[in-house]
Amino acid sequence: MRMLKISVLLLFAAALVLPFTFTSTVEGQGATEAPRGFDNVFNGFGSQAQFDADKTTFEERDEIADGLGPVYNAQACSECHQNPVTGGISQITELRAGHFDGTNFIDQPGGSLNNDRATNAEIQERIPGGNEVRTFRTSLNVLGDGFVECINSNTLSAIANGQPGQSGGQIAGQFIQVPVLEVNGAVRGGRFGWKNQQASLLSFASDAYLNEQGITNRFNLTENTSNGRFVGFGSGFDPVPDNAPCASNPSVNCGEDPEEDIVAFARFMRATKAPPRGPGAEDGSNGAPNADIVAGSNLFNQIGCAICHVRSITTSPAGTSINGGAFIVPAALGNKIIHPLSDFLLHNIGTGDGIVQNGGQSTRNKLRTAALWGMRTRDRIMHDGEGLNRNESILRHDGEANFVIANYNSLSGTQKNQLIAFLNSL
Amino acid sequence: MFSREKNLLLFGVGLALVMVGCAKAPEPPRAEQPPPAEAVLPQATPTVEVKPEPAAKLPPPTQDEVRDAVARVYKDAVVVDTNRFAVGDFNGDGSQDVAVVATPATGMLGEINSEVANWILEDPQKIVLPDSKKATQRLAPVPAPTRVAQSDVLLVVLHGHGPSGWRSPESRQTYLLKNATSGGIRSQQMTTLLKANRGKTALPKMWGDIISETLGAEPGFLYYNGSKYVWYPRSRAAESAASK
Repeated sequence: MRMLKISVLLLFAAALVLPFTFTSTVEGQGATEAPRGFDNVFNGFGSQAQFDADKTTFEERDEIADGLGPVYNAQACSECHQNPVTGGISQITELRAGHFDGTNFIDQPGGSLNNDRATNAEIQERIPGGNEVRTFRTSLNVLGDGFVECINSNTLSAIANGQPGQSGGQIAGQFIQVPVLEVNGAVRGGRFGWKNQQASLLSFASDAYLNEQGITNRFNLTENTSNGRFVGFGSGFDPVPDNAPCASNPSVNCGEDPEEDIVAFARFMRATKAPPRGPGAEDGSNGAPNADIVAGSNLFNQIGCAICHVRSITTSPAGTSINGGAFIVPAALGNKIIHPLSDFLLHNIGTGDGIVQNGGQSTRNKLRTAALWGMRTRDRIMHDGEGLNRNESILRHDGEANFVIANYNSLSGTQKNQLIAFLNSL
Repeated sequence: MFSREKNLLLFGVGLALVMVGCAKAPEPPRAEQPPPAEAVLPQATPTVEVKPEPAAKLPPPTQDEVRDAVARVYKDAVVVDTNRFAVGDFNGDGSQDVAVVATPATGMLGEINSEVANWILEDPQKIVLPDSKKATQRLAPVPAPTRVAQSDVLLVVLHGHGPSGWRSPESRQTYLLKNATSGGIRSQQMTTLLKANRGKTALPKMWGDIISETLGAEPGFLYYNGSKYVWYPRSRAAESAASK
């Protein structure tokens, strides 16, 4: 009899527990808001301890003995991605150059990126004469980029396809597919970088580790040159060879990154929360909505800003395989609603910048729509950081944005200030 | 008693079966489907990408056209001097632009200097760009916002849009420049300047044609650098050549 009672209790317990073990993959579950915050707290992907450790790696200063340089821009990721917390933006810009031959953009010797620092004065890069296309690019925010990575490429493509219809044919975002470095031959919709030159955060981390810090790694094993001059191991300028075995798999070459910091960087970015709204936001997420911000938010939609600065996007469901199969969307990042205020597509709004990276010559004068989330943390805006005030930055939009700016021009001074109040609440 | 336990057991088994049945078994990862083929092709070319007719094929501007074009954006905020204007592709987008001398209209300074005006107000002589020959340098401080006074002579630069250039009703992007003209403006094609200068000196990075001018007895030119109009005195070119 006693056994029977115990059996009954166990069965009840099992009946209650079993369904919950499968809930993360239940389809049809409603999308929920992605967590937001400038608070150094992880977003649910991994653990807080892992996040803290990865953040430390993201902030770690590399030295020459670690593989820094020989040409580079910064010693740590957080030198450029820091405001107001690690992973945010900064005033740091990078410099790119090349020339236009009338048909094509051609990189300056050694590639369009002109590294601003070198471990030896003799190999400092300078823009050689004849490279009349020059541009600064501001550092980008990476907070919330884990959610951006989990946006289905088809979602971005669908946004692009819908834009001509929303704008009388004036606006047509360009969707490009770029290589996923961690999977040979795989391509995916680009979304990271001012030219959408990367699609996965691991690719992005690998690219930045080489190009910004000069540290070769598993997916980028060749050192940058100094204006085309070889300065890698063996040249006398680089004491660190590019053939360290990966700690996790000694049969794989990890360049100058045996501990695979790029994996920690990617994991850190994936675990960051999205930028939160400021006080008075119209969505009520930070105190009572402010009337001007509410009005400005409505104007933002009405005059057409939101055609490119897309307000809400839902990520792929948890369990979706992305990045050519290299990453499965986890529950913490899947089916989340984010408010990036970007379509992550390339547009020509008349600001250049004349540089071609992964997207081919048709992208020469196109740039990714700036994601406006976290905009209140920025004093230098637009791709080149030349926008020092909101009104001027809006007026710099032309080209595809021409009719939107016409709508803006027709607003009253009060309405423009409401729109700017909204931008300053992002 | 036994019967009650038996009923409970049966109820428990039944409940467990129902709840397990309602739960969904784990699914294998769903692969992100590749975008449809048409999506990976270049998008339809936006209308603004259509290469305009070369500026030379457009008819010569009339004074009325210049006045109307400026009024489209500035309305009655400035008074244009339709005898002093120049056309060219100053921002290098293939569409013809116009530059015209103007003065502030009486009583309109508030609107002209408004922080939410429909024009970008700047002083090209205050823009100091980094020296491209120096890797490390102290940058000039960001200039204070430009303010227009009633006695100022201004230069309106209206960027064109599409094949009709500055005549197009969609041409609206405009810069209002202070300390940028003494009245004698002249357009010069960038290609001409580059040819004439070949082998002499490193010129700044210009996006399009230039506006030649003499300011304070110093000849030079205004050029667009992608975000601003910048004054480049010819003496700087001479200094640069001498230091080569």
